[in-house]
Amino acid sequence: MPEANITKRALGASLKALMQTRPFHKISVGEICEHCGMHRKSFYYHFQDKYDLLNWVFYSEFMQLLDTTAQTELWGYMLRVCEYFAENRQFYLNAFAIEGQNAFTDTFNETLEAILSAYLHQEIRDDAFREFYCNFYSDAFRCSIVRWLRERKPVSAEAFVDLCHRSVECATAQSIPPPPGWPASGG
Amino acid sequence: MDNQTVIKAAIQNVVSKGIRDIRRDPNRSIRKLVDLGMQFGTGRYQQTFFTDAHKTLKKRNSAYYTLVTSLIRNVDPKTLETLGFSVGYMSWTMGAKVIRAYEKKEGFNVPWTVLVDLSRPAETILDLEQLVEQGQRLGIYTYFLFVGEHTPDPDSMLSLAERFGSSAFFLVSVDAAMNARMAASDELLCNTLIVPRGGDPACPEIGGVLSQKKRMFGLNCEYNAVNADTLLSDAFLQNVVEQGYPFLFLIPSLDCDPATRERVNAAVLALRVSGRYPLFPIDLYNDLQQVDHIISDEHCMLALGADGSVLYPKGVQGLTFQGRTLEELIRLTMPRVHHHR
Repeated sequence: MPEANITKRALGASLKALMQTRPFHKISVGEICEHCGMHRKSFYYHFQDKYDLLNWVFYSEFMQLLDTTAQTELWGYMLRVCEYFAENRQFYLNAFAIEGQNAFTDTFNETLEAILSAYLHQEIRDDAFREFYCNFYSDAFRCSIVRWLRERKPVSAEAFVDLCHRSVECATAQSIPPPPGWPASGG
Repeated sequence: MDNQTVIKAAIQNVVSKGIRDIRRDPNRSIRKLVDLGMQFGTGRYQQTFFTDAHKTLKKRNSAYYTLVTSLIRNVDPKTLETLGFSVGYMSWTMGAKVIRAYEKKEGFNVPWTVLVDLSRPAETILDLEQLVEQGQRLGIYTYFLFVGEHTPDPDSMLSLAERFGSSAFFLVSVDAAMNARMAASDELLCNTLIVPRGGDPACPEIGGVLSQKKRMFGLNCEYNAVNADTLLSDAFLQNVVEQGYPFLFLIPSLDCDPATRERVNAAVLALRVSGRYPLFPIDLYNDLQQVDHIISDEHCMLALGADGSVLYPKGVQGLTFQGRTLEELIRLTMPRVHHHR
């Protein structure tokens, strides 16, 4: 592994460790560096601020779940994502709790929307409301994931993803005519 | 929903975010994107590419920071994403995997790209759609098409690129007439890189027009023993940069001797490592073969004429794509010397 990635990973691991016990807003860049024995200069060589580091942890680990060597269909991928969230439960509960301009929710939603949009593009090709469905399902997934992570005795990741899958399949299987005055399709 | 759709959506999302970040915070974000590429670029050539890029970017004053920032500011973002995905993922990761599996199973080499010289007149023109369709099945997702004033129906290149959206098409001009045509075209296809021919007095203006249209483009120059030093001189390279060309494709002329080729190749490699200019030089045939070598362990470049006849590898005169499948043609021209490790 290149040196730069080792440094980034060390900083990421440090943030993850600190977020096990403290909310994100109470953690400083100095503490992240101190925890892994890095100089602040190293931190700022790689990251703009702690939000940047948090997003990097998410992107690099999230992308690792993509197995380009195997079949990656949506629900198989979602299962890996949820298993990953369960393994990093406290970290992501803290991350989802961040509010404001740099909210992690926005980063996650953007990623989920990109994937769901590709999925819906295949499943419901011509539908004027596809963008709305995409946003709707992204929000629904995110809220469900947070609720699931918060539960004291959560169902397994497999059972959770199966329920999500069913919810989407039920909805996309129904063909409801658009209200009067709305474009019917292809919009 | 198939395998590629999830992967494509996830990778494009990360790349698109990376591009946005580079606009806001260039140097750090460029390094981050390269490091992510190193981490996830599982293809053999990708590893080499990202390792080299990482080494170059270690120099804080590397001109490649300027090059990447300028590409991101000046090129249509969809084009950047699409071309990056077609070459970086479809060719060097997914395609490379298909190629290696084919080579292992069938015992012949498969090139990662096909070059087609459409610049010379021919009685019957090969069926490009067939070529690309069959090429994609073999894992070939990048095509270099040499075009000039004698190219019949140049617009068909654009419909070809449109039809095969997951492949990348490098349209390499060989004359001033095609340069002018490239500059005048308003058609934007995100999976094409336009490469006008150098030496045309209109090149500075063409660079400006293509830049204004937010195209991804480069300049190509033919070299031989006589002009190689000029093309590698600081004055020339600086001039190319000033004209706004981010890539320089150096192509050996037919009469170019092996010693000159070697010299140019060494100079291009040194230029890339030095990162002195915000310009990415490519010694076309050598670099393409180098990628082939890394993917397939052996050199296996394939170049066809406009009529489908094999121009390279040499020594297989008479063989043509007409009346054959690409697989049959490759099987006949590129037997493996060694078995896969």
